[in-house]
Amino acid sequence: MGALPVTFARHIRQHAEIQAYLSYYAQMGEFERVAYYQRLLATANGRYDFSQATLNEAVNQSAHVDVRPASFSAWLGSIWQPL
Amino acid sequence: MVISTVSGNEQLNLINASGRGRVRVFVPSEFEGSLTKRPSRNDPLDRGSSEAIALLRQWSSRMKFTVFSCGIFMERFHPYGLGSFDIGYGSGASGAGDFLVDLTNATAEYPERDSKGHSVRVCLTSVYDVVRFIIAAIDMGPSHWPREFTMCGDRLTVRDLVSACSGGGSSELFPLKVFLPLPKSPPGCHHLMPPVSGSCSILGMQGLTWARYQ
Repeated sequence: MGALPVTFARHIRQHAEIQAYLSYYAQMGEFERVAYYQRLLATANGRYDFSQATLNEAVNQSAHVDVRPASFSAWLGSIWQPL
Repeated sequence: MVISTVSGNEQLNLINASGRGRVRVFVPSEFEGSLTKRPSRNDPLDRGSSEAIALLRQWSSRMKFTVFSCGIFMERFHPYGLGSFDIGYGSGASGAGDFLVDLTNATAEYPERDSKGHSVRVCLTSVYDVVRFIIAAIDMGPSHWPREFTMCGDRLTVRDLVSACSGGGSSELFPLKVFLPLPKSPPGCHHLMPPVSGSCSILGMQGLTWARYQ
């Protein structure tokens, strides 16, 4: 049996739009949604991005340790099993 | 050495107990973005982090500390959610679909550009690789650890992350697949126990909770 197609819906938010959602849900007292948009805003502000991975560099320079971290696509592949 | 995965008051108590107990190195529960990228004040995602770092600075003449920043756990995008690994309850993002991509409902909500119009990027590391990196750092010797180590399994634009999750291009169809079950943990441990070698034992009280340098 082949894979079943499912449409994947993307909702791309502008930076200002996320801030507007934050204000709206804060006024409504919906704090779970506030926290949700705080995470999106933090992501947009680069909180989870860094260009230099110092431990990767240290490990790569060491002859005594070896770590080969999974790429995101490899990790996704490890949790999926096609039908 | 103590590696913490608790936050808030529990971590503050753990820091004080470690300092009094003459622990030489403390690794706080700061497994997220780099310290330099966090707001210096009024951080809504702080969850006691700045208080823990301030306390560690007070103890730093007797007890060194190093933060291991790993970006986003890849397991946040697991169809069963980060909580299925016993992680992330304190962050409020332990459920499936709590962050950027909801695989179960085949939706994604995300920022593509920052306020200056640049592509938004994220660093990602699997929790299993975080464990491997920390063990490697311990094996290299903690005597010269910096205040912060950064590690990364992948660095992607959020757009590419969503594309990877949705299975391809921009107007793609999403192939329905079966999720592999979570791996069974060895007795006494939770999920974060990859096969490892070296001079470190990890005692799985709550996943990646303690490591003892032998």
